[in-house]
This record gives sequence, C-alpha cells and structure tokens, in this order.
Amino acid sequence: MKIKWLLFLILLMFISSVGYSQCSKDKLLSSCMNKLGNYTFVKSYKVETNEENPYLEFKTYLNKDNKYMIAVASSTKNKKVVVNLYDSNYELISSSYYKPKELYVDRIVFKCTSSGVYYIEAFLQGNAPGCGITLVGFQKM
Amino acid sequence: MIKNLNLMKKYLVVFMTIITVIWFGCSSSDDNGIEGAIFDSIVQENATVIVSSEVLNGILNAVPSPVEMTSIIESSGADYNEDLLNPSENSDNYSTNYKLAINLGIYGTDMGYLNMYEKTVKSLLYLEKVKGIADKLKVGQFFDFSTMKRLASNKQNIDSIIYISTLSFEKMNNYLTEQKRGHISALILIGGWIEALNLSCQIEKITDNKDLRDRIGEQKEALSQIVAVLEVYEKHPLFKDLVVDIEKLKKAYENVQIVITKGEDNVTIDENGMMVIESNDTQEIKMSTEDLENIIKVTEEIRNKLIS
Repeated sequence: MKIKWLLFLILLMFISSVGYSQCSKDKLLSSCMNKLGNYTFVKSYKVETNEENPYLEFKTYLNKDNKYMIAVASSTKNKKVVVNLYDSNYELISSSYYKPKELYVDRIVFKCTSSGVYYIEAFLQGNAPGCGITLVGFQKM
Repeated sequence: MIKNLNLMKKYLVVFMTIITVIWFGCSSSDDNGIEGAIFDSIVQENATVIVSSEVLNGILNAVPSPVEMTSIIESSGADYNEDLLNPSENSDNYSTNYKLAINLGIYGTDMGYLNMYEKTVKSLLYLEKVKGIADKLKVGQFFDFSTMKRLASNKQNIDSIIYISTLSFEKMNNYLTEQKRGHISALILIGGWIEALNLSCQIEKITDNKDLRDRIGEQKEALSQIVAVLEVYEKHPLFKDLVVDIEKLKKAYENVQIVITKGEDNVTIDENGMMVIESNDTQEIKMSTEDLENIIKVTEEIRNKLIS
C-alpha cells in the first residue's frame, strides 16, 4: 500500500516537472523570432502565468526616433498572449487587443518619439494560466 | 511474494533515480541547460544584499540596451573609430570580480559598436575577450564562440551575430540574477551603459552632432535607472567606488531638462494585420554647452578609471 502511494507521489512529481518544462523560452523564442522580420532583436520576456499571477509586467527603455516591434507568441492552446503598452506615467498607449475590430494582433509597431522607461503588461487571453513570450526589436525611423 | 517485493523495490529505486534526474533537469530555471547552481566565492560576496530576481530584473530591464545606443552612434553618420574602444589587450589586467564584471559590460558594448559598423573580424577578437572574462566569472557557457566564429566569416551574417550576442548577454544576466549573483549582472549592465555613453560623448566631441547631443542629454533618465540599481547595492563593498562616481555624474546632469509634451497617439491596423502606433509626443532636451562639456569630462574620467 505504501509503495502504491509512493509511486503515485512520484508520478505527480513527474507530471508537474514535465508541465514546468513545457514552458520553454528557447522553443518559443525561435518560433517568435521570425515575426520580428528585419527589426533588430533587443529583449525577450517569458510570459508564464498562473492563477495567482495572471498578469506580468516588464520594464523596457525605448529610444526616441526608433520604431519598436513588440511580437508575441503563445504555446497555450487557443490562448493568445495579449500585451498592453504603457508610458512612463503608466498611461495606456495601446493594447494588442484591437477593440474596434475585436482583433488580437501578434505584432505591434510603436513609433517612439520620446525616450524613457515604458511598461509592457502581458497576459494570456481570458487571464488563463499558460505560457508565452514577448519579444522587442527595434529599427531606426 | 518476498521476491516480487524485492523486485518491485529495485524497480522503484531505478524509477526514482530517473525521476530525480528529470526533475532537476527540468527545473533549470532559464532553459539554458545548466543543471544546478554554481556556488562560488562570488555568491559569498553578495551575502549582505538580498533582492528578488523579479525586482532586480525589473530595474535592470529599464537600462537602455547597448545595442541600441551603439546603433544611434552609427546612424548619426559618425565614422568608425577604433581608438575609442577599450583595447582588447587590457583584458589580461582584470582579476577582481568587480573589474571583470564591469569590463565584461564594456567589451560587450564595444562588440556592439564593432558589429554596427560590420567589423566582424575585430568583433570576434572582442568576443574572445568577452568569453575569457565570462569564463572567469563562471558564465562563459552562454557564449558560443565557435558558432560566432563561423558566422563572422561572412558579413551578411551580421544580423545573426547581433542576435546571438544580445541573446547570450540576456541569458547570462537572467542566469546571474536567478543564481543570486545579481550584483555581477548589475555591474555588467552599468559597465555597458557607461561605455555606450562614453562612446556617444567622444563622438559628439568630434562631430558636434545635434542628435547625439540630445541622446546624451536623454541619458539623464537612464542615469536615474542606474541610480536605482545602485540604491539596491549601495551597502555592497564592490559598489563603493562606483556609487561615488555615479553620484558625480548625477551632479553633472543636474541642470539637464527633458521636456515632454503629450500628444494624441494614432493607432491603426495595417494590411498585414499589424498594429501600428504613431506617438505624437514631443521631447525637448534643454542642456547648456557647459553642462554637456562637464558630462563628457566626468563620463570620460569614470570610464577610464573602470578600464584601467
């Protein structure tokens, strides 16, 4: 009986460890990198959410006269990564959910006209727990 | 029955061993294939400063990327000038963790500068130095010298070289913060930023370029992020001199004003389904010639001290 319980616990550990490893940044990185096209890669952020932490926030420094591409990819079925971009005063600039057309986009281009710290808030559609990635690339305007 | 039980126990031991290997293999937190933590003297140095990797990453991410800063220099039209870089032979002079980490950042920025001007052969020499210093800091595993060497043989691979270099530094920094060695990561970033600022200052001195001058002024905001990093580590013995130096730079920037006028953003979806946001904010940098000259002087002094 004890052995059965032990086996059950080990199985649970195995399932949880496999579950953890499924959110691999490297795999997502290669799948998302193509979306940057001819933008120069600057940073990547892993978006791993759960019920306690459905939102993640990242800081990034953006420079005036550069165009930035924020590209997202998800490995969670039917759940896209959504990003909100805020300025240094935490005022929303835009979201990758385009309300007028009820559309989720996976690439945002931001033409930056003032240098400083910006905030990227990332989460999965419906605040679902899951895994994804956000990449930032730049190009001169 | 007893025989079966013994057999089952044997299977259990084998199974548990496999599970343990998988468990620790999968728990490596940044997908870099490194199993377990590296505990060395560097960890001991950090014993007095405890800061979560999330908080530290948040602060470090707010420091401008050296790739972008060197790209700004290149697009200003300035000629390539090798004399502005930290000579590669200096790398043998660095032995303390402080000097190693700071100069890892400095060489990283120099590498970015070389890549922006497509000096792939020279960039490879700097990568060799970066790898050497990173090895001494026990983070050399993030720099794939052989792949970079292969790529550097063709200038058309410059985008791949920039991508791999940027990613290597990112992985290294994430790893360092997760391994409670964030102070090393902070020093690398500060070294990289000072070098990029110094390159901008030195080129501005030669070219008197308005764009570059504005970029130097804008760094007041970046400097406040550097100060935030230093506030975390101000009690750390490794940061003692740096805190004093950055304070001098903060003073030099005191009169610089960044005036931002908010405008209405224009958001559209283009024919490829891509969202395009055009910001209509405007930014003006107010900085006197005396202030600029002082910033250039102080930056040069700090940077020369760091590479010595």
